[in-house]
Amino acid sequence: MKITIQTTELELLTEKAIYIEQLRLLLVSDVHLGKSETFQAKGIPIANIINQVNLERLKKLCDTYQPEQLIVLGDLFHSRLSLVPEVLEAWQHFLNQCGAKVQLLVGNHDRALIPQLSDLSMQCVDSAIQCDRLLLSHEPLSQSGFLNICGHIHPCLNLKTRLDRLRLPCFYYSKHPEQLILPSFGEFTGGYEITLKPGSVAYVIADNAVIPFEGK
Amino acid sequence: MAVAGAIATLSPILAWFAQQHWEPLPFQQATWAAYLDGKSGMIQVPTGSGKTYAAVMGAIAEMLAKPRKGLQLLYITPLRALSRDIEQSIKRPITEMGWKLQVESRTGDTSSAKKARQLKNMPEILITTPESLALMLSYPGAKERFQSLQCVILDEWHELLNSKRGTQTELCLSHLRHLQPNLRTWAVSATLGNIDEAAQAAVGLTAQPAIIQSNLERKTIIRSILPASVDSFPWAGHLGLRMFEELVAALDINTSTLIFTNTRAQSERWFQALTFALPDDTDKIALHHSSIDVKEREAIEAGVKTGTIKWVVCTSSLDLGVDFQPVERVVQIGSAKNLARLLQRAGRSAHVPQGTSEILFLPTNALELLEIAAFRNGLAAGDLESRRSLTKPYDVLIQHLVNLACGDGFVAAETLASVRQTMAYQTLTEAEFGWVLDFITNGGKCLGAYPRYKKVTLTETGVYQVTDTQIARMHRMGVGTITSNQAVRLVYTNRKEIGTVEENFISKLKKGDVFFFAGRQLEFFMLKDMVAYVKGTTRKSTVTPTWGGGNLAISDTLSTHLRQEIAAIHTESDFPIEIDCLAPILAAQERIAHLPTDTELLIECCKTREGQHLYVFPFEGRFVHEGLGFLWGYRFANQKQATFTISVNDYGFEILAPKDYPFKQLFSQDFFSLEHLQADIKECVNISELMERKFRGIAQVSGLIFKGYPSSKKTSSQLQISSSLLYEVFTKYEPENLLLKQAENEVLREQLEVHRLEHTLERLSRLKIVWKESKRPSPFAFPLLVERWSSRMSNETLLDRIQRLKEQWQNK
Repeated sequence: MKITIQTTELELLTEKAIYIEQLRLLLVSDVHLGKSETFQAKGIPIANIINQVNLERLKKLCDTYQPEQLIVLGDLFHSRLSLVPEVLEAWQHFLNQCGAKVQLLVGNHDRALIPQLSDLSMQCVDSAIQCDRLLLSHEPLSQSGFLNICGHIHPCLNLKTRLDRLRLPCFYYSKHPEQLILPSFGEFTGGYEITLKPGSVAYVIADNAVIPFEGK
Repeated sequence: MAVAGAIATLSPILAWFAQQHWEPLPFQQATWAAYLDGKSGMIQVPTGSGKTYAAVMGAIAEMLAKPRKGLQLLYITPLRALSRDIEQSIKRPITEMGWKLQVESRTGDTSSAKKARQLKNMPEILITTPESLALMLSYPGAKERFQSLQCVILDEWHELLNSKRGTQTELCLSHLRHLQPNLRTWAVSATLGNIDEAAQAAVGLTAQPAIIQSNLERKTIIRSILPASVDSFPWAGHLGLRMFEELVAALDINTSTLIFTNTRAQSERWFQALTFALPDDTDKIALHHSSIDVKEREAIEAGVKTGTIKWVVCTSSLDLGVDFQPVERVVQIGSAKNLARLLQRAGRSAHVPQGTSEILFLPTNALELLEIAAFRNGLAAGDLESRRSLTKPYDVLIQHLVNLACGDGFVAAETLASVRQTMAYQTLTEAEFGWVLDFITNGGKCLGAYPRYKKVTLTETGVYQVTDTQIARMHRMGVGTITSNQAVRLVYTNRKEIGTVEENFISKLKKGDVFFFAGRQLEFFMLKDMVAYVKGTTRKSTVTPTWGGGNLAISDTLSTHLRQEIAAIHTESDFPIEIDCLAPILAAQERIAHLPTDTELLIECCKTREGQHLYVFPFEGRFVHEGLGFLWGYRFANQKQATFTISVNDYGFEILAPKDYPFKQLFSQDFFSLEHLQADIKECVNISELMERKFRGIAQVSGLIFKGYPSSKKTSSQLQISSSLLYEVFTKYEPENLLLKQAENEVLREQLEVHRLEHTLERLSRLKIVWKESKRPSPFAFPLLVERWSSRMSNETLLDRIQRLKEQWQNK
């Protein structure tokens, strides 16, 4: 689904990513690679195929949109225990294949990991990135005149009537401050229920559609 | 042991009895003799008739006759609140006679210093809970610690038997028997329909249990407190507080009285109402439930004993054996839903052998009046419910094996043998056991792999062991969670403890919100590290904390009597007063929809803003209705795709569908068909939320969800995960996981029991269907309309559901 905010046209993708044609820029956030490994190390068996599933989806996006640049808005890796050879190698393999310049804007989960990421062929950035009228960050920021695109929150919309109830990941747009929050890209990640305020919109992802819900 | 020998052994016990001017009762003597003869067994006598001394004195006599070192008697009680009273009862003869025996308790309330000391140096007699026993097995040295053990007492076995804690107890006992093959087990149980089976589960499959019952006859009288006019009943009001004036009028503030409610939230409200009604006597009224701080509970129990506190509003926290000698009267608010429970509560009013029990019943909604009449008939017929041991829940076995691996470790073959000696796991196959071993060592089998997984390791000598101390610590934290929802401590800002509430209640509060707890008005200040800080306030509030697990279902036995009661309305002319009182409601039912006879099945259809409602009234009890509701929901959805919300209560069920759903056109005699029943049920489980709900508990017991260390008081955010996310990952990437299988089994066995459904469908198919289109829900339907206990099923696409939700969203 395409939306235009200020003068920027953004394509909200059901794969939980944003593509900006004008800038040939692909944005994802909160991938949480190696989350299974973290759980496994603590005696909780979560299948590590999840990393592969996430990377395949990301690779497919790169193949389809051929972006010049891919920026991960933080929390690419889940924890220190995630940085095992097979996870790092799979990521490096992706970097080699994706054909885009990749930047990681570190988040709260991977800030402490920067020294261990130096061997990877991507750039780690520790502060917000200004890009045209956009302000890219991990945690929500507000700076007037800019559209802040960020992650961190893992927004979900809870839809509930007496008859039915659904809880779905969404892109969350709010007017004041002007912000667009990405859903978490990772498969095995939880969500935070947002409340829709007047002027805000939740773009809910359902199967192969993005459906807007406006706050009233 | 020869009879003469037994008499000699028992002489110190008999001497103490003589000192009290007591004559040992025949069932006590029979238990002692059987114990000294080396037998295991079960004692089934009414509460308050001297069962504790029946259970322990055989073992104590032997301990005195043949002094040994170390732990010899282990007393397991389901509630830690009971351990104090039991400790006192057991200590009494020991102190009075100067016997050289040490008695101690070990529960969640015991200090960690004392616990550590106990692990090194056990007392001769230890009183504990199932969780604490499991934890003791998770420390190295269990073999030495338990090798001197002679006897285990399982108190209130009927309370544990058909729960996962009961299964946990069965497993722990099987391990104790493995460490000490001559161990004797004695269960103490209240009235049950299937004593033989219950006894066998307690003693394990290798022993032949002796069953000792007393012939104590106890008469139970049920009286009901009726409203002046039935119009004053809220049709579905779960609390029925409007009756409080009638209750106060029926009672006397100087008579010691226990007022039982079914849920903690209900007890809070009633306490509030009663203190409001009697402002001059507030210090004589107390509130007692399991979330209230232990010190306060102790003070209340002491107050009742000395007579300063007269009325106690309580929940099942006082159901069990606490010795409340001076209680003269018992009140039950709302239906007890189950004959055995009612008998047990009634028994508290005459806590001496052979007294008459009287219970005052206060209905909280009109239809409960029907239940009172049914209760009376059930008691007269001597019908009682059965409780059965669970069938091989894998999650409890996983917890048990990891537990053993944290301690001395275990060897596969001999552990399988001892696990199979329990009733719960008698049919456990080698393949299943193998899967569980694989799960705890390698993480199981899945589409991916678990290269970093480590929990239990198999050593070169063939012993399964947990080697990582952090994993062992995390596991021990989880052992207590079989029952409890994450509890948050409630503390005044000056650090005085008040009690505990469930996290999901506290998480909904904002700073400054006022709520009612433990009879106090509290203002929420902040939540920090699993402690909720509050201040006293006089500001008004309507929020009462809620606790999970408050839902009781009417038993099968009672539902039969309930149907007879309704049938009798049409055929008899002489009614019990409760039915008389109900006449206006029954007339309204007839006017709005229909009052069914015993040859009719009432189906009511009605349209509201929420959608199209279908109400069906089989009067079979909540559990059967749940199964039937889902089956019929599936049979409708199969013809025309839909999303349904299904609500159930003891009288019937509701299927709520999107507006204009053509229930009537789709309905046919095929809905009663037994053909494809199995397949249909499997399908309806797949499209419902039932499995995911069951998985929640399973994930917790099997250690998949880690709730954090109490010492660090923080859930480690790296390990935070919701059970629904886990469920999603498991169904997607490891569909063969036995824990998913278990969730399905639990739904099929406990919720949608096929044989009960067959029986019900068959009975219903013989009835004449009375299909009514009503303008508004009838009195029978109204409680279902407001019932919050509901689940969904859907075979529509996500997109269809969202489109409808969006329409409703826009029209809001």
